[in-house]
Amino acid sequence: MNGTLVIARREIVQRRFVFLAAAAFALLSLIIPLLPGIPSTEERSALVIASLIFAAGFTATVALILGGTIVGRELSDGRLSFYFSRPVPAAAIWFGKLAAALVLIGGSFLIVASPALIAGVASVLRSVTSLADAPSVIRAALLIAFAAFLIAHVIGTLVRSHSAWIVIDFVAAAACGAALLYLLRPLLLGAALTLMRRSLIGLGVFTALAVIAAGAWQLAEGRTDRKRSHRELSQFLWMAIGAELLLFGAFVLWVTSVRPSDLRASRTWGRAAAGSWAVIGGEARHRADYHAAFLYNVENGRAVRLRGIWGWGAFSGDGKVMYWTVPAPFSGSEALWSARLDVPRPRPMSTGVDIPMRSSFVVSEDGSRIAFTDFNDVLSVIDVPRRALLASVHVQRRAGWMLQFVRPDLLRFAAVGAGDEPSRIFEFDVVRRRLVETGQSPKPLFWMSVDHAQALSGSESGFKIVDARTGAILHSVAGRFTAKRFLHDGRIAAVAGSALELFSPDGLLLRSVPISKSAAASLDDAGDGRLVVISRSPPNTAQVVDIDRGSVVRTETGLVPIFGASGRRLLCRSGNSLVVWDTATGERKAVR
Amino acid sequence: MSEQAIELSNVTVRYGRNLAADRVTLEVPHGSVYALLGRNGSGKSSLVRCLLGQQKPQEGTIAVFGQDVWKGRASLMQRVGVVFEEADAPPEMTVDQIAEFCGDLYTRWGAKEVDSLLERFGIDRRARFGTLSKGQKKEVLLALALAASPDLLVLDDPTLGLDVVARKALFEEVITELADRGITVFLTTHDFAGIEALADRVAILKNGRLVLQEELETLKARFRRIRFAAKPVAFEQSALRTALMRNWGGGAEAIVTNYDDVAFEQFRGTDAEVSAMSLQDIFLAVSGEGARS
Repeated sequence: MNGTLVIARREIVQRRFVFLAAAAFALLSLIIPLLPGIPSTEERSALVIASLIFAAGFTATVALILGGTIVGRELSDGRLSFYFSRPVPAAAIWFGKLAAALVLIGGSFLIVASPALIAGVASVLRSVTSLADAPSVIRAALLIAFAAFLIAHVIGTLVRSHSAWIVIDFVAAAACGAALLYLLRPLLLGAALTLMRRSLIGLGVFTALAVIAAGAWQLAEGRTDRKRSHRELSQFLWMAIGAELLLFGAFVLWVTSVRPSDLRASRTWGRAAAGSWAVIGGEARHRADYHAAFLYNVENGRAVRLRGIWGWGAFSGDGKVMYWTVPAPFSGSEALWSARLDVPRPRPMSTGVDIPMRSSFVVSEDGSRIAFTDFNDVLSVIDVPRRALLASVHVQRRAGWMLQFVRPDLLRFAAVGAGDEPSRIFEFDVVRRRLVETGQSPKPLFWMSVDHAQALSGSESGFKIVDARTGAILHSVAGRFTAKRFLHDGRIAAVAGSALELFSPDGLLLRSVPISKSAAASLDDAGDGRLVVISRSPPNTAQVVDIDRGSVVRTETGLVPIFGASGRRLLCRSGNSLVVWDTATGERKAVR
Repeated sequence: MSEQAIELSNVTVRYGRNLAADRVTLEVPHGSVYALLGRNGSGKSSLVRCLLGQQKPQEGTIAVFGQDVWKGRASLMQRVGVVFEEADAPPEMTVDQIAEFCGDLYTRWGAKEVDSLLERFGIDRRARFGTLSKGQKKEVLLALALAASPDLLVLDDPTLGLDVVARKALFEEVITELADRGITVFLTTHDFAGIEALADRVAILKNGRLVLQEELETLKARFRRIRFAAKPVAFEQSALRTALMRNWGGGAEAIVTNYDDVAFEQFRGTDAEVSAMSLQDIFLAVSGEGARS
């Protein structure tokens, strides 16, 4: 008979009492529904849950005991020589014992869980929880038990050998753990949760295979020598795990070595209001859900990788600095990073400032200050270069906040109400630390003039020019406008059907430029008197309108400028790629 | 095919800084009964584990039937029966279960031989191995070792725990029978009286070093105890080499390792008495304190 089978049969026969104990636990779970306090309608659920808990607990315990003794105890008791004195290969001894352990673990689970399986574990689990189904619960219990067996085997061998090598094992385990965390961190910072999960599953499977192979190697090379057996197991295991981590490191290096052209453009952030820098980011191709972000100069194509960007990012009004947040794991906060954009080669730098997790912040015009609200509805203003909290104030909880710096020492924000509630407008004097409600607006104020004095409030029947401080309506313009915005000189541009209309700051129609009929989705300022009208219908059609000459000078299809696009060269999505589109020449340059 | 059943060449075994075997070289001819002798802790069991391919020496090579035992252990064990000093069978298994387990692994398994040996030893086959006495355990393992029809039987201190009757039976019946059948027997033992009548060759291990290895008859022929009534003159300058020289009464006692009548002739006139030595005496002289190894 095959040596592996002979060994396996012997191990099972020797430990057949495990099945008897499992049967006793199975009977025990039948008693649970009879306990006082369990209503008759819940008896089946109680039986299934108890049976599953007993099965999982019993199996894990059996796995731990088997793992710790099946080789380790015989080795330390000097009884492994019984096998090695027989004509049976070392691999057959190991795999026979392993096979027996699997039969004992799986068999005892089946026996203990048999009441649950007979009573209908699937339907009960469905009624109790939507988080887990029967196959996944059974699979998880068996996988945990198998992992416990392998871990107990390794620890059992290491501890029972009484060898000083255990110090090396401890150091190696700590080093591997640290290396794993170090390698997972870039994936975490890249928000690659799916990739991390898949990687951990892969690493787990590889490690399990490494432990199985190490067990075979341990017996083949260590045989009955306790200390040598330990040493062989250790050397094999740590070398295998080391190689595994090296491979994983190479994989992480490849994953993180994303270039702008690798972005799938599913998520982009926007463009500085001044200057030529934009931030682009999103999932990278062929890398599952790994996200990457770059500062990108649309004029010269230079890209600067922003590692760890995950939360929020914003430019200063003058376009000379950008801030973004990087999660600081386990701290509940995010680290604020910055890059100066008025230098030839911008470099990401930590500001040394931490802000609460998931806080959306705004940046002052000169880039020296940021303001944000946290989960406790506290509005804070921070001087970033000095790392100083300048002022903070508790504000009333609202559905949302729209913050903006009017000046570095004056913050205006609209507290957006739920449903039809009007938005309340406040100003916060940073120097005096005084909060004043300055007005209300029935609609959220999205479109601001460059000097922050006026805002546009839209409706289906037209738009209103309102005082941004008080919310008071200054002028009303009737019409069905699908897109509108303030221009740098204070004029207002709006699209209505087949016309782009220009209005003075007080709402007087200055000019109407005929364009192809479109449902405009956005209106971007391309500079030099040019506006770009992007339409939803026909989809992704861009019309470049010269507002001084009053004509459409270019029409392009398949382009969607990213949010906040402005300037002659616009960063646009084109299908699944990002391109820089020169509005003057029509040239499209792929982002690389 | 190699002429030697076992060949150890420069085998060194270390446990940390302790040297269990120091460049041991020995050869066991086919069909011989070879006894490895040594005090407790002299490295015998380490060598046995090494020659069975259960432990890898730090240095040296070991061949059994001409084959590297470390590489070919599994197949070689078809031809080797083993009884260790400490009974190593699983204590929770019955004798029957152990026999059945072994029977599935050996190609030349003699089930009837097991039955006959167990009956001869008076072992209850349904008894759990762990409940047997030390001697009974040895007997069970011996029965299993013999049932595989081995070409080589390795016995590591087989008489340890055996009563006088069983010990006598082992040597006078079992080993003698095996020797008669041409089976090579390699054993370590402290039972000098038992092995003296059986062994073809003996080796003595002292502190991990092999200090002696030869035919038992030759060994016994060259070792002599010489007792002088008075201290001999110029004995040291004679051709006789001594393993031990000590005061004895008013005279001296010398253990000579290369005795021959011609060399002894110059002392013939002195009051000296020459006597043959038992294996145990030789062992004590070679491996005892004060011995010149």
